[in-house]
Amino acid sequence: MIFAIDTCSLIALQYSGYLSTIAETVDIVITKRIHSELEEIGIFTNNDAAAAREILKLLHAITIVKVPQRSTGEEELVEVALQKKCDFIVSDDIRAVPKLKMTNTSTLFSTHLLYYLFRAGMISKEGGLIALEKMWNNRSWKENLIYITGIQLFR
Amino acid sequence: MLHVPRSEWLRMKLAEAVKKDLLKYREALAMEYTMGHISFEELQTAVGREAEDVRMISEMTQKGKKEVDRLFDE
Repeated sequence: MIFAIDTCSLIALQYSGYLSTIAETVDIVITKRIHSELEEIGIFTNNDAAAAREILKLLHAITIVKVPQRSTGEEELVEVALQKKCDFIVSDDIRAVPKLKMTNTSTLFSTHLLYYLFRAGMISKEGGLIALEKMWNNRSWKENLIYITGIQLFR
Repeated sequence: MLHVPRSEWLRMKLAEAVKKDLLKYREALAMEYTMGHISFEELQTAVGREAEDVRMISEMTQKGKKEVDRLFDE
């Protein structure tokens, strides 16, 4: 399984504590722009910065693909998803969803990757719910909605 | 040092606290909807237009769940 994942989803999954498990279980591809964004975020001293620095340590398990520069990050993610024949695009950016939906590649939230681990027998239901709570505590209203509705996945 | 009048500082602190509480209530209501404890109309009455976001994200979550299930059920 190949997943093209955007910056905010990577950070959310890092908060969940399961990004390294996911990186070992499935193939993750990101764009050069996402890599640069993580480096830029990592300069600061807040929680997102700490998460970004941890993600950069996992780069050995993540494929970075260089694609022609587009005006937005989501367009590049779509490009990489098509180029690498990804099974899924993962994004928690609600504003980007309409653009991502225009491709034939299915779009998932980061919460679905936790559900993937649950279905694969790699985490328990309780583990999934705790991971969602960790993601929930660190994000904005619309992103938090993704983690709140993610509870449905483990019911 | 920047001088901020006491009343203005207090107003700012109160606004911050209200904003935080409102977010908590909205999230609690979104969770109640997700769990099926309240209807979409009830959610809409409480949070207004943002109810549409909750419904859309909830539907996308269900759709994605089916796609992940398909991978394991095939």
